[in-house]
Amino acid sequence: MEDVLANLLLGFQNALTPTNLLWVVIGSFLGTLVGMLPGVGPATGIAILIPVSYGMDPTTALITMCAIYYGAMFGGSIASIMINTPGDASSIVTCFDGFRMAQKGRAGAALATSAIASFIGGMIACAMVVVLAQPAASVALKFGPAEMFALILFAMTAAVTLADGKLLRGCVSLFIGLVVASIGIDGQTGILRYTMGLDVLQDGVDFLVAIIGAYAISEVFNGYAEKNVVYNIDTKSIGQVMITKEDWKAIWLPIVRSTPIAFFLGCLPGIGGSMTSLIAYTTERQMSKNPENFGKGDIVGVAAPEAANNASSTASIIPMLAIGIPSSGTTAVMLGALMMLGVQPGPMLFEQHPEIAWGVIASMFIGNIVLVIMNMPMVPYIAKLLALPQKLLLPIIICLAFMGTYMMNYSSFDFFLLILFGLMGFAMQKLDIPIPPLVLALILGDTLEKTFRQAMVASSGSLSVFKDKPIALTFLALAAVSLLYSLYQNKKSSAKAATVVEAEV
Amino acid sequence: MAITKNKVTGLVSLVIGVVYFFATRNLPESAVADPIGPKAFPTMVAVGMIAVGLLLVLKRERVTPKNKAVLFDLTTEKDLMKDIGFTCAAGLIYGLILEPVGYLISTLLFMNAMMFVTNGRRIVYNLSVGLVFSLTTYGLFFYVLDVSLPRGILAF
Repeated sequence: MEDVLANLLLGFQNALTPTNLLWVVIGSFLGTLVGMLPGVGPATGIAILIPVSYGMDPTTALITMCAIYYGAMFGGSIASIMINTPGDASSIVTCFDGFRMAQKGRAGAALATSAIASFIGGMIACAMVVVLAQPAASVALKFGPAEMFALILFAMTAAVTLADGKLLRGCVSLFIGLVVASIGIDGQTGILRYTMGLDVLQDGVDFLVAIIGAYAISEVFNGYAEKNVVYNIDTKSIGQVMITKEDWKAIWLPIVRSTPIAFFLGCLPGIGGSMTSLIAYTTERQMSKNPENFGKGDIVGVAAPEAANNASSTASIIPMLAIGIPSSGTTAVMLGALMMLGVQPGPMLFEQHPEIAWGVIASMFIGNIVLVIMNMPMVPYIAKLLALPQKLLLPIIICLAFMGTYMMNYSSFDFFLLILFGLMGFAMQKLDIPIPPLVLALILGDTLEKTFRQAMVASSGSLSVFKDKPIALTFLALAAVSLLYSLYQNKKSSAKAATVVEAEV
Repeated sequence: MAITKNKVTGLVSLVIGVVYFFATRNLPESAVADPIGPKAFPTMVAVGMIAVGLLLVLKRERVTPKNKAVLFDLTTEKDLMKDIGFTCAAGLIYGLILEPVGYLISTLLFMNAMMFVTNGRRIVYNLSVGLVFSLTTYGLFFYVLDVSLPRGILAF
C-alpha cells in the first residue's frame, strides 16, 4: 500500500508540472469541443487531435490524450442533452432522459447532473485504478508468449461477440484487420509479405493512418448526407447549470451504485461505454419507485448512465496501460498514438517508466476536477458551438485528419491509404460491420502472430504448449465459450425473428 | 436486384480470403529455422475469412417490406457518392501538391475544395475560411508545437 502511495505521489509530481497542467486544461477543453460535435465520438476526436501531441514528451502526450478522452466523453453528453444527437454509442442512453429534461426547460439541471455524475463516477473509478493497475501489470508481467497470445485472442473474440448480433460481420472486420496488419516485413524471418511490390508498404500500413481513415474520414463521408443541417440552440433557455437539493437526494445513490459494476465491465475487453451505460440505466429503472418516469425526463436516467459511462471509460485505461491491450475503440486509438511516440504500454511500462504510468493515473484525477470546474460554469457558452453549421465543421475535420496523417510520416502516400480506409470505414458503416474489431486487429495483429510463433518455437511446433499452461488454456476456453454462446444467441434470435416474420405473413 | 448486407459482406470476405490464401501460398519459404514459418498464421486467417464468407453468403434471409434495413443499396444516394468521390480526388491531388507547393497554398486549395462540397460556390466565404484555417494551423504547429511543415514555393 505504501508503494502505491509513493508511486501516486510520484505521479502527481509529474502531472502537476505547469506544462502538464496546462495541457490537461487545454486537452479537456479541446476534447469537450470535438466530443460535442454531432456524430463525432471520443475515438474520432482523439484521432483528429493526435497531431497536437507531436513534439511532446511521452508523459505530456499521454496526459493530454487522457484529458481529451474525458473531455470528449463530457462533450458527447452535452450534444445528447441539447440536440438529442449522441456523439457516440456510449452517450445514446443519456439522450433518453437528458433531452426530455431539456425540452421541459431543465437543460441546466440535466447538464449539471451529467457533469456531477461523471465527476463522481470518474473519481471513484480513478481510486480503483490506483489500487488495481499495478497488480494487473504484475500479473501480466509473468505472461509468456502463450499466455499473451491466448489473452489477445480472447480480447478479439470478446470484441467480436459483443458487437450485438453481428458475430459473423464482426469476424469479417477482425479478419480484414489481421490481413492489413500482416502487410510488410515479417518480423521473425525478414520475408516481405503482401507488399505488392510497393516499397512504401515494406514497413506495413501505419495503423494510425488506417484508424484516422476508418473513424474520422468515414464520419465526414457520413456527415455529407446531412451537410445542410443546422441545429438551433437557444443557450438562454439552459438556465442555471445547477441541481437542487431534491435532485441531489435522488441521484447520489444511483451514481454510487452504478459506478463499481461499470468499472469492472469497463476492464473487460470489448465492452465499451455503450453497454455499461445501458446496463446502469435499465438497472436503475428496475430499482426505481416510479419506473414509468424513465424516458420522460427522469434525472436518475441521466445520472446513472453518465456515472457508469465515465467509470467504465476510466477503467478501460487499465488494460490499455498495464497489459497493452485496449478494451475499446477509443483506447485502441490512444494506444496507437502512444506507440507512435515510442512508448510501449504494457506491464513493462510500470517497471521501466513508473513516472509515465503513474503520471497518467494522477492526471486522471486532475482531469476530472478540471472538467467539473471548467465545464459547469462554461457549458452555456460551449453549447453555443453546437450551432456551428455542419458545412463548416466537416471540411475542418477532414483537413485536420489529412494534416495529422501527413505529419505522422511526412509521406503523401499516406493520403492514399487514408482515403482508402476512409472509404472502407464508410462501406463498413453502410454494411453494418462494426469497426472496433478492425481497429483492435490492426493494432494487435502483429503481436498476435508474433506471440503465437514464439510459443510454437518454444514447444518446437506443438500446439500442446497452450494445453500445458493453465492461464493460456483458461483464456482460450473463455474465447471459445464466448464464441459458442454468441452463436447460440444468434441462432435463438434469428429463429425468433423468423417466427415473427411468419406470423406477420 | 436487391442484395442483402450479409451477402455483400460475405462476398467481400470470400474474395479477400481467397486472394489472401493464394498470396500466402506464393510467399517464399523461410530460410530461418522457424517451426511454423511465415505462412501458417496468414493461412489460418485466410481459411477463417473464407469460412465466415461462406456462412454469410449461404445464410438464408427472408426479405420482407418491413426489414428493408438488411438490404444494401447505394443507388438512392447519388449526391452523396458524388461528394465522396470529389473529396477522394481532392485528397489525392492534395497529396501530390503538398510538398512541391507547400503547406499554406495547398491546404488553402484543399480546404476550398472541401468547402465547395459542403457550401457550394460562395467563394468569398470559402476563401476566408480556408485562409484562416491554413494560417492558424501553420502558425500553431510551427510556432507553438515546433513542428515544421513543408513551405514549398513560399520558401524564403
